[in-house]
Amino acid sequence: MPINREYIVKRAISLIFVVLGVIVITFIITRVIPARPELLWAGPHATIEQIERARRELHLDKPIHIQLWYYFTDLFTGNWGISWRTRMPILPSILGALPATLELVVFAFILAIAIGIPLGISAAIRRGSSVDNIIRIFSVSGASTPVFWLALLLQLVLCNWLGLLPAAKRVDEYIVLSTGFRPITGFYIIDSLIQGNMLVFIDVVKRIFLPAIVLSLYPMCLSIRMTRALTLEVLSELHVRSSIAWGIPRNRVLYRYVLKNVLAPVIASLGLSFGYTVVGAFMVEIIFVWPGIGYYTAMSLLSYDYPAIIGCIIFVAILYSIINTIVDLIHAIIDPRVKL
Amino acid sequence: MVRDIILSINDLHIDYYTPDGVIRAVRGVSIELCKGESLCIVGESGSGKSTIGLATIRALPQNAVITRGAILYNDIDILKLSEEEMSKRVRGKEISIVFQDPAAMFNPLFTVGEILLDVIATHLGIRDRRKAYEYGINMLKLVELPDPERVVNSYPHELSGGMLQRVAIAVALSANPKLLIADEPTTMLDVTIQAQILDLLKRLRNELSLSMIFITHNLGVAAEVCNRIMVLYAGTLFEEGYTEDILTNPIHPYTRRLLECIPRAGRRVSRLKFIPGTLPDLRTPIPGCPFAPRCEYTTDICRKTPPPIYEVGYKHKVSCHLYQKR
Repeated sequence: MPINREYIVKRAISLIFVVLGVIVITFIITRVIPARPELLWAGPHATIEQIERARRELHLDKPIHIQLWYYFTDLFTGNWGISWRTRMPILPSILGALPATLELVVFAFILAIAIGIPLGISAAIRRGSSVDNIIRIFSVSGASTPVFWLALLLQLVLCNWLGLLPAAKRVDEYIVLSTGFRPITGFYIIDSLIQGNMLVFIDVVKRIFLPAIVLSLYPMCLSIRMTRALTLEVLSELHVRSSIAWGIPRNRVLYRYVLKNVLAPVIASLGLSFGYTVVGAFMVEIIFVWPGIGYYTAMSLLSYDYPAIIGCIIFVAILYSIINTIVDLIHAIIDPRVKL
Repeated sequence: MVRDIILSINDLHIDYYTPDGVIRAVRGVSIELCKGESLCIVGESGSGKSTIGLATIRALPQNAVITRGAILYNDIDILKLSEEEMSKRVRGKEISIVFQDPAAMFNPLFTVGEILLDVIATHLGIRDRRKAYEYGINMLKLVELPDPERVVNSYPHELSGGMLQRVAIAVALSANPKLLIADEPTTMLDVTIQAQILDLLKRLRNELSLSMIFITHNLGVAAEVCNRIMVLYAGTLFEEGYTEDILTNPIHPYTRRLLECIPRAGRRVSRLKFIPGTLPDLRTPIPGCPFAPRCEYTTDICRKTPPPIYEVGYKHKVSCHLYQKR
């Protein structure tokens, strides 16, 4: 598939500008919050001298553009600072939390696509029927359901009342210890499969199921609505009628030709909804005690942990930009007309 | 002279259900087409000519309903076949179609070759990709496309309208159909390309002994390709006959006006002629002749009763009250 190099280069350059912009903006925002980080750094019961020393150590006594300069130079040398909350280096902490979030988000997106696109298509080809109406009601109510509310409700019903699924955490420590499971990639589903550890695998899948469903609701409903609207639009186009009139069976026209027309924009919009999903993951991870980036970020936010907050935001922004760039490239592969 | 009838349409009525009401697009049209014959259906936009073409291959939009009539292809009742039988036995294989807009006929995300080879594989059962490819290249050569190896791997947006129309003809004819419906195939092309496509269709019709239904709004184009012409207005037949008869001896006032509208070299006119007025509203019942509001010879009877069909010559029919006493 001939993707032109110019397209990739242009995408990469815009990626750099987005990241630089995000760094500056997050820096300004955290400085505007009315809090005194040196107090947190020095800890409770600190003397005035200790607080003064903390101010100097953190360069908070310097002009703000110097502070920004320090931050830039450190960022690009991989030194993302020490978290004021945990006293641990930030970048390794984020990277360590990344697999948990990625596993959750990827699982959620797989659910969203695997359920959303077929539902959208079946709604479109049964337009106006009761099936269509039910799917439409579901997609509207699903897209407008608050994530935290649904998470708590499902926990209450499925875990507390019915006892069907565990309510929190990625894996049961007791099973981990008793079976000698060790994380390799950090993706527990993959790790447990590599080690052939079925006990852990079942436990992990059981535990990822609820948060993934909660997280997948918004992208799922989005893809239902997009798929339905696009399928209706494509079905009314002449090429569908001509393919059928030339004798290609209707089902093949639908699933081979129309589907591809629908997929490209749906994937593009799911890429855009990735940011929303990561924000959703913040709350889902807190509720389900999921040790991912969302959990880490939320904890940092609650304790005014500036370096960690900036680190998380920059990291998520970079991740978001990379994923959107990838989505754009996928779009360019599917649709030969796409040229920047 | 007894000839085999390949397609006969009897008293066809088609309605479109729209939010604004029921549009009665086709109001009792009958067609008989013999093998090897080419019939041209001429009419303004909204006269129901394309609807008849789509009904013949059962590719009407979902809101269209065939309320009455029958379509017999070689004594097979098209309207009674199931959707699978239509795809397997009729579409592409017996009856095929090319449409007006060449760019919109092809899915923009697939090379034209993918569609061509899919049709070939579906109908001729050629599973071997190399053989299907060779067959496809030969089809593209048949429609006189230069550089078929490049065309087959091109996306629709990389080809011109004329080339796409040729590819469409190749796809439509790839499974050797006996009847080709050409729904205004030249309307959206440049004049020079139009002439080429018309020549191509004429040549293919003779070489492959195709029967053809050619749908157009242009009587000049109709005269070029077809041996019979049928003039349609508001979903009803106005005049039908052999091309020479219609052109030299048009009988219906509407046909005469249509012929006057064709611009011709050598005839000095200051401005193009046109027929004042528009088609009647097809959602309301039309009690008399649908052309009555625009016709210069309208009498009371025209407004009240629909005109019957009179035979005015050898296979020359006209539907007009003016010929009541002849």
